[in-house]
Amino acid sequence: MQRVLLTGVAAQLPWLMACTHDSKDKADASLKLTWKQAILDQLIPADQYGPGAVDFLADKYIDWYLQDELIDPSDRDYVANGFKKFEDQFDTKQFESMNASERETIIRKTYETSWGKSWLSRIMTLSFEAMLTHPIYNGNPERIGWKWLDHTPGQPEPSQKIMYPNIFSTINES
Amino acid sequence: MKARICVIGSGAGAGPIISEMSKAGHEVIVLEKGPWIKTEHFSKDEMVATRRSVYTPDLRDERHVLNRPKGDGFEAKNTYDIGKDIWQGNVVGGSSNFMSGYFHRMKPKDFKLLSSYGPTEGANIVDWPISYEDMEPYYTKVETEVGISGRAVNHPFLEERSTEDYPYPPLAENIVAKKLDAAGKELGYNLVPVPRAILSRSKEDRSACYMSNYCGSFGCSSDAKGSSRAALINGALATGNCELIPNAKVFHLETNGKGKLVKAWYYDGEEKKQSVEADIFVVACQAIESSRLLLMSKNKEFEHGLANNYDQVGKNLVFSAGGVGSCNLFYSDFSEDDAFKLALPGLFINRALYDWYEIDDPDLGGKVKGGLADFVWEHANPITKAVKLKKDNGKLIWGSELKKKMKAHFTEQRMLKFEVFVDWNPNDNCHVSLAKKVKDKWNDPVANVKLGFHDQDIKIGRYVSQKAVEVLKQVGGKNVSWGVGGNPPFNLQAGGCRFGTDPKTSVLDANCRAHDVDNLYVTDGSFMPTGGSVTFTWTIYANSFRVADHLLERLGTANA
Ligand SMILES: Cc1cc2nc3c(=O)[nH]c(=O)nc-3n(C[C@H](O)[C@H](O)[C@H](O)COP(=O)(O)OP(=O)(O)OC[C@H]3O[C@@H](n4cnc5c(N)ncnc54)[C@H](O)[C@@H]3O)c2cc1C
Ligand code: SF4
Repeated sequence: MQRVLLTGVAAQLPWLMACTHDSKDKADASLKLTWKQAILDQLIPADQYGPGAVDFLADKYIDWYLQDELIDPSDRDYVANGFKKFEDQFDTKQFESMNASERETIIRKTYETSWGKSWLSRIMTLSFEAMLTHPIYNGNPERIGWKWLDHTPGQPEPSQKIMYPNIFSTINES
Repeated sequence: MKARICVIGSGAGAGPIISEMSKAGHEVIVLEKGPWIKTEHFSKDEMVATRRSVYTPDLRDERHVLNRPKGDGFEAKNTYDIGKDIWQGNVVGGSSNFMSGYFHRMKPKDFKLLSSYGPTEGANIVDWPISYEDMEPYYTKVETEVGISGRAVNHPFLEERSTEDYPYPPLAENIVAKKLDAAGKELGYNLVPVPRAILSRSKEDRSACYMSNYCGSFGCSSDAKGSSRAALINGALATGNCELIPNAKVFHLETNGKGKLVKAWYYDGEEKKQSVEADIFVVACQAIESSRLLLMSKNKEFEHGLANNYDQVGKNLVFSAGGVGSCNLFYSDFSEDDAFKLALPGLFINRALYDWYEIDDPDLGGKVKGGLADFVWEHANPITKAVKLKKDNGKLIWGSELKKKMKAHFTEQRMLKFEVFVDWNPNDNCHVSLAKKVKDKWNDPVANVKLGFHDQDIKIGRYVSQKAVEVLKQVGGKNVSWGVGGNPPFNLQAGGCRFGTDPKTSVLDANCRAHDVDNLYVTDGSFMPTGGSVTFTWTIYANSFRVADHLLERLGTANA
């Protein structure tokens, strides 16, 4: 089966490891954001209402998504191409050094383009996944997204064996 | 005689046959397209349940063509291209694993819609060949066998029951149920307790519901939910008479040139063609896929598809028509104690507004068939909840504005909703055929689903929704909004192989046996000529138990 084969390959990829973080990582990240982080931070900033996209590790979560071979390449390309278009249209080095209101102008400009409108909406959805997924997927670290929104997770919670995509091989082995 | 019965599909329409025939000692072989996900594999992981295709096929491999109303005509698009997935649950137990289990019996008049209300122009309404009285014992059987909890109370549309009350007491309720009852009294409306296919007490190996707060779209970890897998198939397997083959996608039913079915052909997990021989074949792939399989099984004997000599297969597909509405219950509008209780996760609402199951209103032209409204909470899964907040008036919002909105939505209120169910009038523009060009990964034509709806569905949906809106307001809801449209809910599908007495206008006889093929039965919702103004699954289960009784009569009990 195609799906099982892919799962086998996928399970060996180090994306989950790539998504792990420690508190040092996080402290560094909040000092200086990469341009990708800065886009996400503009969409969901850390502010008086609670933690932001960088705290939820949205950028790393999106990297994981982009490497997930089970997801339709055209969906992944769509997200990746949006970042490329952003890079083509704006000076990303400059974007990194901008303050929040300057960045806001750029995001508004992006939203006014035909590609930017739906692309920003798409990365917003992925950021929500990072914010509110089970921490086993390396978003929502220490459940900060859930805690922020007083959310009670359902029981039982996923384990390594039955999380996506491992569940495919677990079912086939049982 | 010990017969070999091949059942195709393993959801709600299949479970009773699998269970009853295995228990009677017949050899049952089940071919299920999806994988075998067992109870221990389920968790409340939103990624698995709703964010990725784990319980449903990848649309790159298997899609549908939807032919939807557009302007004065129709426009056909495939579900991959438009990013709309209509698969419901392709695993052992089918979509019954993921249902919420709001269960309603159809009412006596639903079995004779034509003679009760007369014809509706542009709708193919017919009476059923059986009556409510014929089905009643089987509705009762579902209560005990699948397990239904609830409380029978008198109301103008309470159907006759052969037992006084449900075998399982009602599930624990949120305080909002009492508030809805009170709102109903103030308005002079009947808010009626809703039965659920959920165990409130344990039953054999199945534990009672622990109110996980994640029911619809999620598999059940206690087996309290009455899925076909937990409630019926596990028991059938324990008899030793039932063999279940997962990852078996049936693509052709072969006849012997004398009108008899002899083999079911399927692709196994390694994509190899395999076949199974049997005396009796029972198809229960959920309505759309069942019609597709019969249409795909054409041969010299059945040039237009199996059991399709009168061009009836796929016709008169129906869904549950209706609408949805919602409001915010702001905690600040309630006492501290009530606000705390409203916010408690897990507890159920289980109330429906039944007063307009039949409507007598001169504006609608006198007595017409109406519908009901079920009151439900917004689903708990937080990602889906958040995604719905990202736009205001169609425009993306972000930054602190978005976060403020999210914080308020998640922590300052609870969203109370209603879902209205009314008849989907069967009509000439709602049917299944085979797509001419689009194929699945096995190179089989996919189902082309034409989705025409009748204006009466919208009219009645609006009527009942307006009454439900009054209840939301009376209970203290703010920001009440609602909508009724012609988009079908794909989880509630029926028809396509309707039963009847005339082979020229129906596919199946009153026992759900194909008029044209003596050993072929269809037992998912396909048999239903009309769907009633209720969710379908109780009727699907009951009918499958009824057909099992007929099969036992036909074949005898192998144990005897
Ligand atoms: C989220 C959700 C909530 C719901 N809530 C409710 C509710 O509250 N109340 C209610 O009454 N109903 C509810 N339902 C609907 C209910 O689940 C269905 O009505 C019921 O399961 C239909 O039974 P079925 O046998 O027709 O189809 P299913 O239960 O879906 O079973 C069909 C099976 O056939 C298999 N199959 C398909 N094609 C093939 C093939 N070619 N070869 C082999 N196997 C095949 C499928 O993989 C599937 O397992 C809900 C459904 C969903 C998804
Ligand atoms: S435990 Fe109860 S609420 Fe949770 S899935 Fe099972 S039946 Fe539904």
